[in-house]
Amino acid sequence: MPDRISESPPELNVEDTEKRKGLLLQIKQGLAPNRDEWLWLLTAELALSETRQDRGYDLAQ
Amino acid sequence: MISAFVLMPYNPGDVLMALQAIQEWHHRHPDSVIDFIVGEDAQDLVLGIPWLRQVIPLPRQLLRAGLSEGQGISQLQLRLKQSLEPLLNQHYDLGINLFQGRWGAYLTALVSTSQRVGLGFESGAGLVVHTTWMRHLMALPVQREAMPVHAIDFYRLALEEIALGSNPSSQYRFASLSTPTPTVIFPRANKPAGNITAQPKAILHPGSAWLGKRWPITHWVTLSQALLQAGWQLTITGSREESSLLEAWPAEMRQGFGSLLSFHFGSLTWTEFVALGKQNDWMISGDTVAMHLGAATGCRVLALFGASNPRETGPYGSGHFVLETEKDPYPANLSLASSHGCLIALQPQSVADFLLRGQAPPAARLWETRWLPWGLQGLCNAHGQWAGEKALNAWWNSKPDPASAKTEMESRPLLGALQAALNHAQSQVKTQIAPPTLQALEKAEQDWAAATRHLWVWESYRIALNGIPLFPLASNLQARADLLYKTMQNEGRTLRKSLSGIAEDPT
Repeated sequence: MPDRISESPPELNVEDTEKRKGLLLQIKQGLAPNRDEWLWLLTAELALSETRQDRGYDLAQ
Repeated sequence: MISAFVLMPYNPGDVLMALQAIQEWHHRHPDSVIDFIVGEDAQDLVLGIPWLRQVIPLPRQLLRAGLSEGQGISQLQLRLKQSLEPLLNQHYDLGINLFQGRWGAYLTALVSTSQRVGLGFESGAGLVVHTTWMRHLMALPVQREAMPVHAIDFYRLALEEIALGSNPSSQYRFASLSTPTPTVIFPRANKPAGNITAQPKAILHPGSAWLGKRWPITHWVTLSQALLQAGWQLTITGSREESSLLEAWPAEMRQGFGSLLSFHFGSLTWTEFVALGKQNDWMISGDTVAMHLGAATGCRVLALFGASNPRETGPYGSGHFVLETEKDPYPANLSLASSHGCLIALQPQSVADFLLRGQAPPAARLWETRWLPWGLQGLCNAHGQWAGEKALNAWWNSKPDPASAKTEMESRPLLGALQAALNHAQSQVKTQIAPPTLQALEKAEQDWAAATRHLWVWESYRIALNGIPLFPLASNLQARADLLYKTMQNEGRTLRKSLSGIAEDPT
């Protein structure tokens, strides 16, 4: 139950994947993205994130 | 007046713990205005709390669904921007990021803030963890089992660290904390918390997302029978996925006790769950969100602990009870993802004897939650002894000591790799560890985790490798190296042959 992975986890397209990789590397190097890039990356990370609820463990409806 | 935003998006138990810490901080700073950022998973828990100025919802599930449907990120970005509008257009005195996921730093980077707590971004450094206490919290998996401090108290200590001002030379400061008031987030209208009636009403919450926290369902049925026969009124709760657990209660029992026994599996909203908690005297649960909800609604909690550590994540507040079973022999069940033999062995009659007659079970340690003299929560036994007292003292007083590196430790490949990372981290404050060392560490950690099922080992490095400079974690790494070394000595274990070829730090 806790380890069940959702059947179709969301995936980025190729273009978004490359952009995300570039921004992650930039951050790791200590270089701040601009405001729009931060928001883009946050959107991507949120869309890709998975919680216990996504895996089907819903205590409350 | 202090303006602050708090980020804790999920899971619901973590949101409740964050609320308990922030509520206490607000109690000490009543003129503060606080905005709370939360995901859909737990939004209902936060809406309507009177001491929050506004709740800012994160449309995470909506974005996730959009991506699954093939939308590009740029299309989804506008939706998120609209949700975050209240945050983006103002300045905050304090940004409190209690979430440990990497994207929490990306969100806080978007918000104009004077002072920060938790994971964030700094130009020139990358991802950093603000405040000593949050750094320790994020490295906690290093020594999770021995952890003597509650996670909520870590939050409180981190906030106190901000209040006292930045002083890098002082590692730990906690003397000025006082006993938190209040700890109940959703107070009852008519009676004080913990005022148990003659015919108690209790919520029994048998499930858990983690196998290592689950007490067998047959035990729950036996316990419920004993309590019902004593005149208790019980509500059994669980997730929608756990609804098959209902079948464990025989039909004649369900019918025989009539309205004294009811079931809610996945049928309550959080708001309804909170209301249910406020109507009950007891919450009996494993280490689950229901346990935290019981404490947050003024129930008296009895928590059954197996693989996890009640000092770190037990019910918060005074007057709750914890039955802590022995830890299984290392390493089999340190992971929460496998069942916990000693918890399974805890007999339901023992739990019933405690609830009905106050008798301590023979096979588990019985603790009551109380406040330590310096305002932190502790667990106290019937003899007035505090759980982990030695560990607590040692932990406060411990400091990283580069000179303590032992050649014997370095003779082990994994420990050698750890030590190399330590040496490197301590010699280069702001730079990242050399990639070959990281690779060696990562492989050693993965192999060690695979060989021992000790998943926390890997988690600690997942955090460390996430881009956070290792130096602030050095003391924790040292503690971890010591722990691993001690474990290997005690258990007489040797590392697998596959670890033998791991390179030492080439630098």
